[in-house]
Amino acid sequence: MSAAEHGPDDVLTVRGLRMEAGPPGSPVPLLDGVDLRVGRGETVGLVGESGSGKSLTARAALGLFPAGARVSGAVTAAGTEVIGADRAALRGLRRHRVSMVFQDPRAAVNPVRRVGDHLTEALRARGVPRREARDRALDLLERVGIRDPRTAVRRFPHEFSGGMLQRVVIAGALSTGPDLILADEPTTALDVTTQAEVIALLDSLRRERGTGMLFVTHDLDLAAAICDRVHVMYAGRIVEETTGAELLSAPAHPYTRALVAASPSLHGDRGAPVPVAGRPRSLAEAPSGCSFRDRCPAADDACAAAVPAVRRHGGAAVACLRPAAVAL
Amino acid sequence: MTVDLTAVRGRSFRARRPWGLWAAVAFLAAAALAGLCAPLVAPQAPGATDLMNSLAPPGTPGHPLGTDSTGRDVLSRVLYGARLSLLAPLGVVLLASLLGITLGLTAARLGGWADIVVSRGMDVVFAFPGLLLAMLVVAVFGPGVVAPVCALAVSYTPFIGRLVRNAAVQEGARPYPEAYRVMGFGGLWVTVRHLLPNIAPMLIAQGTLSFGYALVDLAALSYLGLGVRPPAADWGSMISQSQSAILQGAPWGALVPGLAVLGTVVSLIVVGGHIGGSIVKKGERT
Repeated sequence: MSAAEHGPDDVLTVRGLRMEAGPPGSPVPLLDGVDLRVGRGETVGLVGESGSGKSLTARAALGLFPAGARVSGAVTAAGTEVIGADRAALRGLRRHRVSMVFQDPRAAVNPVRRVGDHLTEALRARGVPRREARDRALDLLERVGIRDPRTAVRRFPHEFSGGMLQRVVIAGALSTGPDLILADEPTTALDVTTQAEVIALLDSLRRERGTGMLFVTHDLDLAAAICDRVHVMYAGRIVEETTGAELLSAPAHPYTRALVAASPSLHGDRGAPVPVAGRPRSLAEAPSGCSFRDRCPAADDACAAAVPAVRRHGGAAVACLRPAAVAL
Repeated sequence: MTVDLTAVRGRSFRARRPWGLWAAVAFLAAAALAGLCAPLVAPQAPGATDLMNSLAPPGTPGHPLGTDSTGRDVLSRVLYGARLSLLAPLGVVLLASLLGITLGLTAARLGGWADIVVSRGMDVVFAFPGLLLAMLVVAVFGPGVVAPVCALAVSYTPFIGRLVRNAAVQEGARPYPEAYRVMGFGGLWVTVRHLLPNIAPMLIAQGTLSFGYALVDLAALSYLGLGVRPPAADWGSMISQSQSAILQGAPWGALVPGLAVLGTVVSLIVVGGHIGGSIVKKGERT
């Protein structure tokens, strides 16, 4: 997989990330051999169903692992090796280098403190003087398209609409000038028009500042539209890495193809959405070999033997013995 | 963005005027002011005896609310008494809040064994009657203001501590504390800067009610002769000293401070209930 060919400009590299929880006697596997990388100024998508490990992977970039989880592999975020890092290193990483934008802005901001306090808190903690932090906050609010920043900083979160508050959260994420932004379904809680605005905002900020972005979503069209590269996750493994352009036009892995067929489309030649048979598996309950094989129409005995190795298929890297064998 | 609804809000939508609340606030303000300005407004010195005029009824010239059995002016003593009667419960509430917040947040943040030890410890104190504890402490350290205040503070700590612990656990399970941890802030910072302000309204409501209870408890201790020592006076000790006069047909010496206690406690319950109620309403809205 091209994740192995990491360059010096990468703001995030994940190699062979394995994670398991539960007692050592009966471990519950969560992630298995996740590889991905995000270059400077690059937007990388991470798509998959709920429970596939997207958010776990994104959080791992901050050294946030579930309580009691055993982790192995290598995660390097903004030049810091995260696994096994001490508190001070993780604190520095989270404060200065990597920011996160959450799904629901209303849940991610302290409801009783003013927006200005939220924006300046990280800067103040860094030792930026009060006035300068305030000016930076005003500047950021202006940048993310909040009208009249001077009154906005005095407002409370509940006085903003969801889309406006997500802009505030994005401004907060940018306040420290991070190298990497982890966007965990940042538009899922917003309505469609605000969604488009927030996406456009994130994209322009990324372009402007050269920040790398890991974009977690289950919206394939969105991922295809804004991501340079997309990783498709299923049951704790990455099953396909492809370009944003080819995600919809030439999906290779049967799972990706099933996802594409399952998502409704307003235009193009795709017909009615076709549901993916069966229900999503977690890694713990996945079958041996290819974890998708019990839902895959093209699976046979060979798929059960071992987890398929990653192979090239056109522009994509696919963990499947028969890429593109399933009709779209 | 919020829309200003007051412009379209008609008369029928206006909230009922909470006159009871304003009356309570006014009473508390008056009591606090009385204590503060006692030397300016009291007609007599609180300890000045006027034996010629003992048990004078209200309305006697120079003694608008009458005098007690040693001829001390009831109004002056009630005004001066407001100082100790209000400051001592305030001390109880502040001390209990300090202990309760510290213990409650510690239990909520550390969880596990620390939570079990702190919570069960508070249950034990909770089960022990506060007045009894105060009497024990007074028996050991002697009467006065400091010992009963400390003892009552300890016995009030579980009320605050359990509230803080449960609210902090509940609040900590919401996503925003984690969001701040993701920003690189430590657990202690997040707890104090973010969790505490979110549970503050609840604390204020509980503190207001505790203040009323503490006032009654301290008055009871004074009444039993275990609180403040003469010549210093609070409302409880005034009631205690004037009860024999009730049988002599002069109830005002006990009645006036008794009404002061009653008015203050009722006002505090009204105010505390209003704060608590507005939290519930806010909770329903979100």
